[in-house]
Amino acid sequence: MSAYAEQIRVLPGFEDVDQARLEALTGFMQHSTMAPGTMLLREGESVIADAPAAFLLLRGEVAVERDGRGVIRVLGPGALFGALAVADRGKRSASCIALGEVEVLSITGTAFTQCQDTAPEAACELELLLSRQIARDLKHLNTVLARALDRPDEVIAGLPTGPKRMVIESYSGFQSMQCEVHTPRDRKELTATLAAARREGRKVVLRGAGLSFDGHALGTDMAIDTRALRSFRFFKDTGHFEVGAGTSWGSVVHSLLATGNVAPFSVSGSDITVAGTLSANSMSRFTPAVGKEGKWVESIELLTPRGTVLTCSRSENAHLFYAAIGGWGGAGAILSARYRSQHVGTPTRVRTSVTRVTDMDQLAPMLMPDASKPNQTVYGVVAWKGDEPRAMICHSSFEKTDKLDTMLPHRPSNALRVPIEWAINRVGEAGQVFWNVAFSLYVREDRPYYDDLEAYTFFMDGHARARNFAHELNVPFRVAQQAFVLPGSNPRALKRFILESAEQLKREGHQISMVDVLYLPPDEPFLLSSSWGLSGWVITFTFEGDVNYSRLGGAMREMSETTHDLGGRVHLTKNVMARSGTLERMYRDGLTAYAKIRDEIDPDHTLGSDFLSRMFPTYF
Amino acid sequence: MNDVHAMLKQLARYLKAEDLAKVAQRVQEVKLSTGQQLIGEGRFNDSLYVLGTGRLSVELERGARITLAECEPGACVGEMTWVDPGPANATVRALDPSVVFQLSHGALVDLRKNEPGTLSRLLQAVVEDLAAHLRMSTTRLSNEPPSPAQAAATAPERPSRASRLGNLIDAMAALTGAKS
Repeated sequence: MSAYAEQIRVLPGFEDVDQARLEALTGFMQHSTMAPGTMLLREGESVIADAPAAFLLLRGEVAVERDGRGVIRVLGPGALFGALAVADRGKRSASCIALGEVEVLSITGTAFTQCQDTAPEAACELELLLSRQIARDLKHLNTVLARALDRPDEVIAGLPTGPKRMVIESYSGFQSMQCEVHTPRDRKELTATLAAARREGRKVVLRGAGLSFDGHALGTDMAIDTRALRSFRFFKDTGHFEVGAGTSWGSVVHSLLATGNVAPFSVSGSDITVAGTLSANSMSRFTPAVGKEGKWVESIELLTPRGTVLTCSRSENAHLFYAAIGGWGGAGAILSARYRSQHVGTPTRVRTSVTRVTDMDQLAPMLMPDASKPNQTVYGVVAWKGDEPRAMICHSSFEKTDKLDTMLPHRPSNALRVPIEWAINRVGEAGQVFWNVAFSLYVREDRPYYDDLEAYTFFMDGHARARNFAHELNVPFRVAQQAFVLPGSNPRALKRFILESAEQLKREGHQISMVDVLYLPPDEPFLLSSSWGLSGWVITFTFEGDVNYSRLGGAMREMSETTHDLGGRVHLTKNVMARSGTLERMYRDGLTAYAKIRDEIDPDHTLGSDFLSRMFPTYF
Repeated sequence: MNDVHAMLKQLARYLKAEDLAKVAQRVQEVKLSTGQQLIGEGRFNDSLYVLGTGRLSVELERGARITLAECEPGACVGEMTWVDPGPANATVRALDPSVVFQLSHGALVDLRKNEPGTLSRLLQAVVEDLAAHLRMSTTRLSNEPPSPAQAAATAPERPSRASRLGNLIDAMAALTGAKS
């Protein structure tokens, strides 16, 4: 037994316990090793005299679950649990489940009484351990309560209230679901929550800020919010940065700003999280020049539902690297990522010059990135004046300069943004009016604009602000977007696709508020990437105002068929209205490999989402 | 003053006859005048006190003073920090001239070393009391209304701020062991 006494002495909280007493105490205890998933204590059960009453955790981790509220705490070595029911002989207040293999010493009620009667020194130590454990539990509760008293109107972080059954909604506002949302407070709790879900055969959707357009972050059973995993670390020597899955891009870009570095692939909303964009392998306006987000990732840490954490990169677990990035959360939970950044210097601005185009034949050639200017991106917006299409082509690059001469869309906090976004959202035609006014009166071609980096990057924050404002007033604020990828080998197809689709949509009474276009370079073999083995144009149609989603769906499905006929794909990041058969054909190769990998790391198919099941029903 | 049962009341419930003198010689008597603070919220404490005569109040300072409970003779305060010294959860002050009996952490260390059986029986009562506080506090917390966001999502009626505060104070009172 002295071997266990030795083992206990190094545990936290046992430093001051007398060695001889510890040895006497372990004489009353039973040593056991438990398999992952073993339930050591069950909530509501009474303590039985000859069954293990209290446990001392020597090795491994134990999840504490209560009240059907999921995991409320994770215990590590040195923890004494079961103390409460031993102390008052009441019922178990929580369930305790082994997360992985655990090693414990346990004592039965009978042995405890024997110890009190025959070995007072050992009993004294056990009573002291019990009292300290309960005192610490009380102190923890007190801290939580004190915080709650200071901020009674806020959601109280840290309160062991567990999951909440609530309605979650997509950014577009067309999908919403009742779901049990879990908010683990750290990596340990996330691991435990996911492991418990797997054990109970539940279906889990991983979720960040919940800003995905379609059902990517929605599910009907259980959602795990990963926003507690926030961290940021910059490596000055190499320009790399490491971030936690729940870190928002707003904080990443802001933290990088001080270093003079940029993440050129950053998405357009500051609240969007790292894991959110990574699971989409996101595009940005800089994609034509720098590629999609995945290209900038060096490695990720991936958690499987069984609780294993794997480092994945192009050289280590590469198959998982290519499945999880752009894998929509179905191939493991991304815990953190290491990215490259680009050095620009401070102050960092974005220089944008605008060119008006009325000849649509010019669109494709003008949208091709200039090989002699590798840091300059190019993208375009198409609008119609009556039946006449015209476009604005923007060339943007990062610059180290003091100049500041901003463009209205790049002032997300400007007071005008909310009324403009409201006008566009309430009245479909307003989008076209806005772009026409911009085209004819506002935009200048003679000299470039210089925007603040954060305002330029997060231009969609203005839209998000208007949407939040609408939600507070209980006014619907919906937006639908769908993006199509066409092969670049046929430049004439771009013009035809835009013009013919727009004509058809208008004929059917759909209000297009915006069409934006950019060049998409070929992607690395990220399995569900819309540009794996395909380079070309991404054309995004945006609809606001009185959108009839099901009628619009019909038109989008037709456009998806055309895209498929042209050798293209429907991009999966926005709303996706397409026949599942068409989508499965578009992504067949990637899906087959993806399904195999999913079987390998998530054989119980715990992870998924409403989106994945609707889009790829054969595979999910 | 060596009648341990008179001094420690309920806390002495598991002590044997042979324990009484061993405990008695380690108990200190402390006299408090009206308004005098015995324990300060957030301030280090490592002693356990049993109220002999007089009245104590258990309070929190949150802009205004929140009284969690008033204690009658026999009530015990400070058990949590006696076994695990550290900052106190609440302030305890005398409402009337009072006498309390103190067991310091030093006494605990001394009993642990020299009279482990006695300490074991004393701790048996302490553990039971702490467990009762924890259970009651947890139960009251379970009655804690949902957060505003949760309430908005699931129920049309939101609990008032006052009822939220009331529940929190209730849970906190249970936690300190004060019977409110």
